[in-house]
Amino acid sequence: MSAALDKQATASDGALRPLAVRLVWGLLAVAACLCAAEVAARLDDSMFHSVPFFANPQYEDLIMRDWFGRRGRPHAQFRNWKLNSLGFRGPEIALDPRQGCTRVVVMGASETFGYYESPEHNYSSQLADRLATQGCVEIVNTAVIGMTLGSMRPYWTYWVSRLHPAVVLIYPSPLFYLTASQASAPASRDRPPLPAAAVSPPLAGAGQLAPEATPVHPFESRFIKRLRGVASSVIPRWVSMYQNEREVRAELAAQPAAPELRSPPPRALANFRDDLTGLVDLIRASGARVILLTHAQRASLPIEPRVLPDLWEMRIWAPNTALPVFVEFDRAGNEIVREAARQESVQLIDAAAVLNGCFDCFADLNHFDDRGAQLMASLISQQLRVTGP
Amino acid sequence: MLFNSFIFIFGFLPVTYAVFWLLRSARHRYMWLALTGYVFYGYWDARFCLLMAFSTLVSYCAGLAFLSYQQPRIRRLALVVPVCVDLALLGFFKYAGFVMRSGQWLADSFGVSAHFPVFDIVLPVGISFYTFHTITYIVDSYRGVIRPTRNLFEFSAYVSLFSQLIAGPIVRFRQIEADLEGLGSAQRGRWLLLGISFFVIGLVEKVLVADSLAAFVDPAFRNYATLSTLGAWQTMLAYSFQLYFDFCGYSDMAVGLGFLFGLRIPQNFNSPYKAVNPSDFWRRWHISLSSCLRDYLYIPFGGNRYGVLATYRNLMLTMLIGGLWHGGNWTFVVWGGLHGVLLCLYRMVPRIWDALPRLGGQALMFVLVLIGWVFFRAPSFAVAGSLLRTMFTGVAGPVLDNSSVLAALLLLAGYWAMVGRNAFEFNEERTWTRSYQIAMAAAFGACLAVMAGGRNSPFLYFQF
Repeated sequence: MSAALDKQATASDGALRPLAVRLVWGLLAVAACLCAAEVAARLDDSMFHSVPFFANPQYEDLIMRDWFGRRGRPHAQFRNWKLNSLGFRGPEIALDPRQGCTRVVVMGASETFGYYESPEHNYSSQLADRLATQGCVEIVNTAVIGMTLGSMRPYWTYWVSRLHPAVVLIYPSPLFYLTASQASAPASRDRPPLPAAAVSPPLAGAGQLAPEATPVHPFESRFIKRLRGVASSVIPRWVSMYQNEREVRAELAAQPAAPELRSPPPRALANFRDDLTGLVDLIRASGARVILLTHAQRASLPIEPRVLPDLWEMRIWAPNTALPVFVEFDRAGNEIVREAARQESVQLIDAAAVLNGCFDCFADLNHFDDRGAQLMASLISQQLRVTGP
Repeated sequence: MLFNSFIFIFGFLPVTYAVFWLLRSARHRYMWLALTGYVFYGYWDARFCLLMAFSTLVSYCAGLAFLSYQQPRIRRLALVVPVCVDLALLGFFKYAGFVMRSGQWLADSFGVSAHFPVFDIVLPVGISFYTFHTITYIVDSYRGVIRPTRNLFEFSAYVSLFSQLIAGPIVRFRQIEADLEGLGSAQRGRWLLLGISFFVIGLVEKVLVADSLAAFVDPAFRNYATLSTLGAWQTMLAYSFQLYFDFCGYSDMAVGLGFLFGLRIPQNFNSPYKAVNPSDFWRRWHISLSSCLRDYLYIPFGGNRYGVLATYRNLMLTMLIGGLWHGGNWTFVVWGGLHGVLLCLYRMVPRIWDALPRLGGQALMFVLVLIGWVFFRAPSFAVAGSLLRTMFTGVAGPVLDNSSVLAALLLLAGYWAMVGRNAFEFNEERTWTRSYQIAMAAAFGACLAVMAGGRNSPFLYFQF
């Protein structure tokens, strides 16, 4: 160790000041630390995710309301989610498929959009990578967070059908129909947005697509936002479960007393069936081939104790529901998908049969992690290989 | 637990620091450092704590034997047995798979019908470093360079010291013996600011520079077959600086942490990309390893005492083993061999090399080192060969994505590594003004923001 450092150590020893002075300088140091952190967070976003330095993007920026309903906002960006100029996740594409290429469109909600996966690791992206060796196949992920089968009908008619896909993969989320049958859920918490109220725009009419400008939001610290993300990842599961329970109890207390839902409501399942068959008919009428996927979940029956926290989290959306119903409803929904595939003579890829109960394939009850998305992509690419996209 | 993680900075470190300075006696502080070392190590995989404890006990007993017995035969036994035990542990965990793979390859090449078992052994993190700590302790005790300690906790604190446990520097017992002995009377305030300064500079090197460059390097290596010539050079330039700032950042953080606990850990990097010849490079790069290779391999092999040819042989042997130390893969051996050849060449024609202008020598050395890194980083010869072909045969194609950001980062990193001051030079010349402390706080804040963005990655040298 050099003598110079020894000298510096002695000098630094003398640098210690009385408490009050140190306190003032300490506060100044904290202020400098926070300012630099905010600047660094914005620079980092700007350099690596192309988020403008002065922008304050919000989660809602990803979605815009067009005259026919909701769709992805062109060029929107939030966290590491980027949408292309047509408002879809993934690389830039033209409206018409490239000559000689087969275009495969994937429709779904947040599970398909990709919520917890690393950038470009949602199952559609991984599927595109896998099919890259099988000639020219374009995979377009048209999923919109919170989209039900009902709202997919106008979305298909007025927007997605313009892409002229040869194949349409549909990954439905049955649980929307369960949660929609319950009282409105609190929207205050930053969590995967499961149920959005089904949009029912008029199917008739020929309006023009009118993209909205990205709204300007007031300043919000991106550093604090990042810290929140870190905090939520280190908060023990039992703490978040406790918070959940409190919210559910508060929600239940605010509602008129009603018996707990102990089995899948038939009306919700009927709605799911109607919307599914309606969508399949609509797409097939355009000449595209439909492939249905069953919905996969981390939980399976009988329910394992380790998935209870995931089911508890779902109660925030459907507070008056017994935990097993979330699994039973999904299973019943998948039966409807299988039945619809048989009746409509469309291809079925049974993702639930392969992935249900795979604890390490999901980040929560419904959303894939990288591994789950990889398995999904592998499953679909194998099935597509059999029949040809 | 990474130094650049929130759990370490806001959990492990403050608790370890506070309790350490609340304890008054050296004995209690040894115990605390040893305990926290095991907690830190067990955070990865608690099972491997037993392995480290075993290695520690074996070496400690060897030290006791040197204290108790003076007969050469017993001393030799006390040297050979524990060194063999340590090497056997290292060999099994690090090289068993490599030996089997190589054996299978040889058998296949000669058409011999043999089936070598495939070992899928988990490499205990840091094993290369702590076995080196214990081996240097045993050898130095045998040579009489140090007096072995009778205090098990002192020795255990030395081996499992969390700041140097996982990726070095390879601190020899003699280098911190005095500080360990005086741990009971160490003053907290004396090294505090220096410690913070080193730690923050190391954090900046790792988080802001190395991890930012990693965002370009990792995808480029995944798609190495599609790189253009320019893209391949961008990739290798980025990797050269990533590796340096990653490891140097870790070492500087280790030095800073050492200061926080009253221990002066020696310098491990002295601006290696300022080197003007191979010999100069190895005096600056991973100093703790190169000095160990010199003292425990090259000199015992005979050094330069038995003629020119023997010197070249010793140099080559030392560098080949040094390469292999980095991992069970022939690419590391080739990397070591390449540096061995460079060192031999420099010994042959030092005047020609030294006649180059300083800038020319520095540029030549940097390019040669960069070519060596191709073998160091590539997982196989096929990847290394493909990259080298792309680099030197003019393959057209696009540059890496986000090239303007990469160019800015390379300029910054290049200036800092090849012209600017390293953490030691910086701290030797710096006076502790308030503005410097504010600047340190700002740098720390910037690192926190990037860490919270989830782009931080493990240190590259953890795999060794």
